[in-house]
Amino acid sequence: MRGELPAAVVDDFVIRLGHGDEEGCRALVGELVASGGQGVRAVADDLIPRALELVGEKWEAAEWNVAQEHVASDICERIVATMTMELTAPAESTSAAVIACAEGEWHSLAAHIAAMGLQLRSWRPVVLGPSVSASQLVAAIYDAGPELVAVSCSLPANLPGARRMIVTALETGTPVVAGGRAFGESPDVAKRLGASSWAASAFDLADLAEGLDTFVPPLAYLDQALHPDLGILEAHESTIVQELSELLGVEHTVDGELGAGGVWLFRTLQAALMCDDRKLLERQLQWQQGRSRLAGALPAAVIARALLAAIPRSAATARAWLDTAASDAGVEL
Amino acid sequence: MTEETRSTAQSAANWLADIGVGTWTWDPAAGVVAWDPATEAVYGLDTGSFPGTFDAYLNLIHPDDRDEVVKVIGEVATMGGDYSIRHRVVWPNGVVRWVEGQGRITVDETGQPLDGRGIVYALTDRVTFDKERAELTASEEVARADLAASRERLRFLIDLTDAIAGTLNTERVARQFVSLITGRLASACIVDVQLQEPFGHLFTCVGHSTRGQHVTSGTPLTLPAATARLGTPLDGSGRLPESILDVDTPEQAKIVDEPGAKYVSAVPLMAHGTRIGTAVAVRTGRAWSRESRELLEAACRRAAGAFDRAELHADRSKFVAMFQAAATPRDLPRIPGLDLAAHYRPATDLIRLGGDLYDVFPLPGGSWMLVVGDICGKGIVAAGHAELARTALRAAAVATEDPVETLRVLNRTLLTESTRPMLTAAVAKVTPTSGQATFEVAVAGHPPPLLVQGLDDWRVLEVKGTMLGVTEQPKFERITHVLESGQSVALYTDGVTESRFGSTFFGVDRLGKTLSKGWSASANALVGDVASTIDAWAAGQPSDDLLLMVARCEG
Repeated sequence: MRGELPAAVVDDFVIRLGHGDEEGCRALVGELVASGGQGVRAVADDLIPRALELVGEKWEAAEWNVAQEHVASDICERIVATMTMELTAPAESTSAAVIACAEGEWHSLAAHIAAMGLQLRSWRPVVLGPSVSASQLVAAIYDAGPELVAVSCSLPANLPGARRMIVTALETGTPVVAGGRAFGESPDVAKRLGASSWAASAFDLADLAEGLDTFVPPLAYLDQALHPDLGILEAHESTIVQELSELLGVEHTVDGELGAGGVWLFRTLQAALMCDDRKLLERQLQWQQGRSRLAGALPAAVIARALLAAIPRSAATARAWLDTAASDAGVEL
Repeated sequence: MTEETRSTAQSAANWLADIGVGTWTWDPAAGVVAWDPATEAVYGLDTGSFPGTFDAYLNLIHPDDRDEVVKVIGEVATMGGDYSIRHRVVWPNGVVRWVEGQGRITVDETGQPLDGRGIVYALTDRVTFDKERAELTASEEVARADLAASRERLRFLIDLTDAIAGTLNTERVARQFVSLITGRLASACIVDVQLQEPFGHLFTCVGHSTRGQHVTSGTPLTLPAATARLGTPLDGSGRLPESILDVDTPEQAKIVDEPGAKYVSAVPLMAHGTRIGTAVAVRTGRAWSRESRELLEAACRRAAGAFDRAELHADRSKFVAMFQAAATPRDLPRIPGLDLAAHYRPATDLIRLGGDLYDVFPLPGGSWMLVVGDICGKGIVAAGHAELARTALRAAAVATEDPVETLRVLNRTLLTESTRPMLTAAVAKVTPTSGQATFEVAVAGHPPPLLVQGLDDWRVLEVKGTMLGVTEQPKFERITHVLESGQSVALYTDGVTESRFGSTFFGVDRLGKTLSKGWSASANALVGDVASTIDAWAAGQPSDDLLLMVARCEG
């Protein structure tokens, strides 16, 4: 389905989003929905995901400011919410699916789109708000008794959080489907992180859900061929973050808004090891390098040096990767 | 050799022959092997029937041992020396016997054999030994099989325990249980869970090793319906009674007229002495051994415990949900001219009962009251107090239509309560007019609200007041501000500003900066911004209850 709408339609929608023209956006969506049976899918599975990708690119390229990006995703969320409300409400007795954004993940639109797809197929979706902690997820699982848990993650830096959630859900004997940009284009990363299955598209989660093996093997059988350095990084996480904040200052360590802080780079390093993909780290460094032109951000080299200093010597691969990725990204350490 | 020694040698040979030891000689030059009658007897030959060649000797040796014998004798025949070897012989009548041979071969300086001689005797004990060894091997195999079976049973119980230990949901317990039973112990399984009043019947889960699973909840599944789901009409013969889903003690049944007899084992699921359901497991073509029945019963005991815990949890969840719903409004009302959003995250996720409360409700005169409060204490007691405070506050606000008077009345009410609830609160009366909103606020021991006027432009609306439920003479102030279009006010609890990164508080300053940076966004986006910033700030560390409400004048 993805990619079927003409680019001009998506561009038109993005322009309306850029002007904060909610009425105009709704009008365009209304036309698509009215155009036929696949209209809902065209909006949820094609128009909105593609538009938000463009919005993300514009934000990354600093063409759009944070407020514009906020307004755009707000409008999309409200449109999806309205469309969902117009669907038939699921009966209490139908199978439930808990949909959660990974810990640290603030983009919840994919979760809502997945919910819409499930509801169209007579599931009862329970969407947990953005950035769900493992303990919030457990509480929701205990309450909803779902047939499956879906974990959405778009930023690689949030994959460590996603992994905690996947393992937590498996502990409750519930199958987990992972999806979102951070998991890439194949099931590999999802499998590596322990997920029962991988969803290529949020809207089509229902397809997968129906064929999912209901049995969840005990965690002892979970084959997580994860790099041993991850264990070292996890064990030293609090001292690493503490040291980063001493070297960079608290604001540059946390820096949730610019996405350029020390913690971001640290999480991306963990994600790169989880995915066995050094490119993730390279791209993050390039991105942080770009960010450093913005007011108030530190040069990527300063952050990378601090992280290198904070990581224990025993995590030799992690250190080597950081070093190589920095030189590949043109960041001089 | 003298006649006398010759005769002594002869009598020694006779004596050896008497005890079954044969002697032989080999003349390599003549190529002749000479066996005495005793040797022939050891090899099962009649006296004088041995042809006298080395090949004839080899032919009598058991084929499996022949190479070894050739190797040993071959070595001695070139090097010279003694040898000793045990091997089997095959008698002409087919009987296999063990013999031991010992010999000596002398060679010249070029390695050519000169002379060979030796003895051979039957190893009759060996037969007994072999038999004993065979018995030992057999019993070892049995022991190994027993051990493997024990390991498998242990593995099964460990897996079952692991598979249901983390879940507090009855249906998932049933699904995991049925999956493991049908995967390892039986070909089909029915779990029928009924709970005591007021829960009534809960659900039936049926599963088959190849046909998958099906769960029916709400109404009981009859046995024919359940077995139809399995694709094996177990009761077709009428021999499996419906009461098999109602057993009080473990029961067995066999259905013979099916293709491949079906062996049924039914076990009651017992929790604290009460039957909460039944598990029925079906084997095809394989009867239940004592061990496998014991294993099934052990599995059922674990599952019954898990069902019971899940049910207790469900009960508690309803209770918590009731409290939660009472303490916080489900949806904020839509107020014309005001964009309103709140974010509330209780500190304890698993109980999700915090000591914070918030409320938004209309006043008779057309204004609205916004309330944010923080109860002293935690858990269920604090949640009870929050509910009490919220109700009392609504009543006081509707009666007085004034923030300061509302706090006064609420304070008096709380002081009369025997459980002495104490809380801090911010109460704001908002009156939207065209393009503006009048914002009148009073606080009781609570952080004062923040006013956000534009990009990087914010300030605290300084106002003070005494905490509620402490003294009969509280002091309250009021501050009034007219919100222009686009301006926002944020009410919050100290969980927001006291979120910590290491030992550094998030603080009022960061809150103000975060709000004013995204000032033009919707109230919903603003609270989301603050929540995500705090999330990044606390970096996954546990925080206190967190409550933030933003009201933005839309003009």
